[in-house]
Amino acid sequence: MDAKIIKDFEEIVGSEFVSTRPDVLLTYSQTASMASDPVLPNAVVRPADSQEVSEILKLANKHKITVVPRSGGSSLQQEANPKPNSIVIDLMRLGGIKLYEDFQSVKVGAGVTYGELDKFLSKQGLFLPVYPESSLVCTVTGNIAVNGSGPGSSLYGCTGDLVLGLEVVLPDGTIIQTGSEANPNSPGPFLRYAFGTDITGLFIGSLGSFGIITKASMKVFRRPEYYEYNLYGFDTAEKAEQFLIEVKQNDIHGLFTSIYSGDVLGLFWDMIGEEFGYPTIEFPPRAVSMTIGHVREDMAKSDLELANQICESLGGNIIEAQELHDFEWDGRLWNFVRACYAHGWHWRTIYHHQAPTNSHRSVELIEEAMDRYGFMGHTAGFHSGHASMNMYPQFYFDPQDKEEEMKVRNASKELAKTIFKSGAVPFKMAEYWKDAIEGMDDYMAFLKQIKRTIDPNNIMNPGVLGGI
Amino acid sequence: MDNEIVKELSKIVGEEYISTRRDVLLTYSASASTSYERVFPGAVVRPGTTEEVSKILKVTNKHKIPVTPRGGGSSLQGEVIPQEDGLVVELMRLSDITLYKDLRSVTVGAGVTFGVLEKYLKKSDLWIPYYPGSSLVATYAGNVSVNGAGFGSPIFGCVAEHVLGLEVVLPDGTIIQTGSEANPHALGPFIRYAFGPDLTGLFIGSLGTFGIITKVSLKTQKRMRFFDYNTYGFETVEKAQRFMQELRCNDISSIWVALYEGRILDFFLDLVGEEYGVPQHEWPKYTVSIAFGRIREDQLKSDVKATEELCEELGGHLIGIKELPKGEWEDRLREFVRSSYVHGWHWRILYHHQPLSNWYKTMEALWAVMDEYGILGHTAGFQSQRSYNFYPQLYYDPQDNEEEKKVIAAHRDLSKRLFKTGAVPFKLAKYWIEGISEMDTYLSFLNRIKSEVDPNDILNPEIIPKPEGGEN
Repeated sequence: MDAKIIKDFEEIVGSEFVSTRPDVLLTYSQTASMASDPVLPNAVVRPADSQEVSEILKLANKHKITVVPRSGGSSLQQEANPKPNSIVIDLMRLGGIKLYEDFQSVKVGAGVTYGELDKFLSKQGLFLPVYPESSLVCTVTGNIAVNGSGPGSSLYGCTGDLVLGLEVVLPDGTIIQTGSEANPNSPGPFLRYAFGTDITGLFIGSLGSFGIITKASMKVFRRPEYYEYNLYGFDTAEKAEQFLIEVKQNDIHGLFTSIYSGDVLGLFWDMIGEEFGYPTIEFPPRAVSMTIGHVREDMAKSDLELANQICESLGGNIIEAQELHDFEWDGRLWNFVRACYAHGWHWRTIYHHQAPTNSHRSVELIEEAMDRYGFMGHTAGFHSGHASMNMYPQFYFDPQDKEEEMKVRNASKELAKTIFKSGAVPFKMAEYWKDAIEGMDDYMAFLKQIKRTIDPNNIMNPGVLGGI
Repeated sequence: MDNEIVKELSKIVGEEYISTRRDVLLTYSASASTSYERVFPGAVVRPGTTEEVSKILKVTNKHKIPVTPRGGGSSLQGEVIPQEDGLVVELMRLSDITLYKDLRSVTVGAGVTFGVLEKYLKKSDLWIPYYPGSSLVATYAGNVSVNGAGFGSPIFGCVAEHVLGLEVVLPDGTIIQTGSEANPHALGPFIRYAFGPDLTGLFIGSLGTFGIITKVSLKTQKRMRFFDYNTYGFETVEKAQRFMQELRCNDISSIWVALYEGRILDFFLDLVGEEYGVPQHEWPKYTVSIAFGRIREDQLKSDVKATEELCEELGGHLIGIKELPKGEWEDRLREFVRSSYVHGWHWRILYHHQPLSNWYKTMEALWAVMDEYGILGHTAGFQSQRSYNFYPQLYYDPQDNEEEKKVIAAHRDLSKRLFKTGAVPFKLAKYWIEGISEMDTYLSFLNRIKSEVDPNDILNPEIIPKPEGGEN
């Protein structure tokens, strides 16, 4: 990269916050996304505030330099992998947490992680009720950019549902604020849908292709004090799915409700059972694991009682497995990530949402692919929002075995297609969806039009929106 | 309107669904918005399908004819007043309803009103627990365009929170589908946040400026069966505001929450009190009126008990008059409209949101304006999650032009004062931004998107305010 441009960046952020050192660039050449090829950026810039981000983008826009925004780097689908000849803007220095107790909302800088925020909010008896599985490193704004979900989503929906407003730096350096805070006299974030058209939504799940989110205003809630837990066993997928719908229809506060096939739970137990001292359990073909949470004790008990009744009426049974609750909810900030890595394999994922009554289709398709391509893997899903299952399949490979890795890569490509045809939807458009989606030409053309309007020089993370 | 164009349009929809008759145009020259000047469109067209809407927009786009989409015509802030010699596209014939029981969702055409869907869903023991004040005539698509709120909003928020996806015809005639149904293989609507950027939001509250919403997919829920009602009195506004916040914090299922100043409540009850059977009462300085609703009886009882405890902790008292909230809730499909007209005045309205803890700021601004301009008015409102949705009304005698002018001036003044208090409109009516330059970058961004999506500026033109300092 032109030394003059590097100098200009240094003038904006200070020379200690720009780097072109090969070892630093190597660090930024990849994220937690496995089975993707590292790409070295030309430079890494670490701004301290929105103003510096704005100055950087003005410069990048003038010189038409490709920009890849990045925070915790925990994304798994190559969203923050650099492009050739790009710069990475690392946002971790944009700290700051501001609580608006009266509005039940909080505002965080782009460098604030879920772990840090949870520690802050728990002191106030509050929580941001969705925890992505990489919470200790994942930032709130990064998660908005990929529109994630996780433990808590079964009641509160995806991250997008929790946003009250965003501060965004557009590719030309303009800083805009959305939501109720768009009014400069606003005392804080209390409403997302202000001033007509919901601009906030444009940046949710945008993977940094429309602008850089520098601050996020989020809904917070009183932290539940009363929990109940059960694991419900069913002999068919259909009954387990029906159970899930009934739970939602009857206003049962399942904070985290997952469907596992017995095989997957068995595999899971094999991986971590010994470490955690789990007893041996015979799992049925399908099991629904549910953590109920409430701010009032009688409500939690009432929910549990009703859930048990619904299970029974569908011919299911209750399985004693409190360990799973400890793992899933109490360990929600770290256990998933640990479990994913505990076995030593690498893996690819194809996150997607499936209608609850169709979630068994995802499992079938993935099992078929595993048989056909001959690799190990698994999938499970948790309920998210009003009526959706968030599926998170993992396809394993030995990182030393290039052939196996290629097998998994090819299988992923095909699976994206078959999963799309089964009616599933991605919640973010990672680049590989480009070849999987069909029959969406007008939709994609509209998205492209919006992209062109906002980012005419195409500097912001190009290609990441399904090729746009 | 040019005869050739009328002919072209009538080929699309059939002759019986297009009109240029003066009496028909008169009907479409105004909406429920009082104190707005009538404007005669050149023609009214009533398409029967999305494809017809698409063909109509292709014609208007080619000839650069301004288009005003219209549903039930119940909007109150001049949003569907046509453009001179423009085309009104009336969407009431798009009346299909498809229920997706397993997906807990429903898709409705742009002509389906809240009243019609309520009746339909009731048969399956379902509902969408949100009702705007004009439910009998308002359509879902229209309400999404103005981003309304109403009964049910304290818990469930504004209409946007119920939307799972939209079918939209863009100004060039392209039809797009947002949400999970963007996948042509999807079983139906089950998630809004699909395929990355949330395009659905772009059309919510857009007042028809980016495209015509032809279908709306919405979340359905099992109907609540157990209801209770009560009124709670407070001596200070801070305590009453805090009480509303605490309802939320404690997960009370309060599906209707309204905070009344004593003197406004007296006025309101003069209008509807007798009908609702509300007994005479010395109302306290501040009264919170609550309807509770739950699917299960034990939940309801727990809510009612917890609410009484909260009230007591805050130094309030249980008034015990249930008729007021009961009347409001049970009359939710029609109450608001009736009480607005029952006194015979016309009025201007200024919908906006305030944080719950700033409730008093709207009251202060409103009383000051009424005193200074010497006009009558009142404001009521209701909780909508973290905010309070106000609908102040400034009254005038429709025969008295002087008074109407006064009200229009007071209205403009009030909007500026409210903006300074930090209030926000939930839709961008023009008078909100007049004289305000602090939001220029925001408005520039909006105008940029508008000029790209609708380069000929045919869809409800001039609705999006231009930035004070001119375009960037």
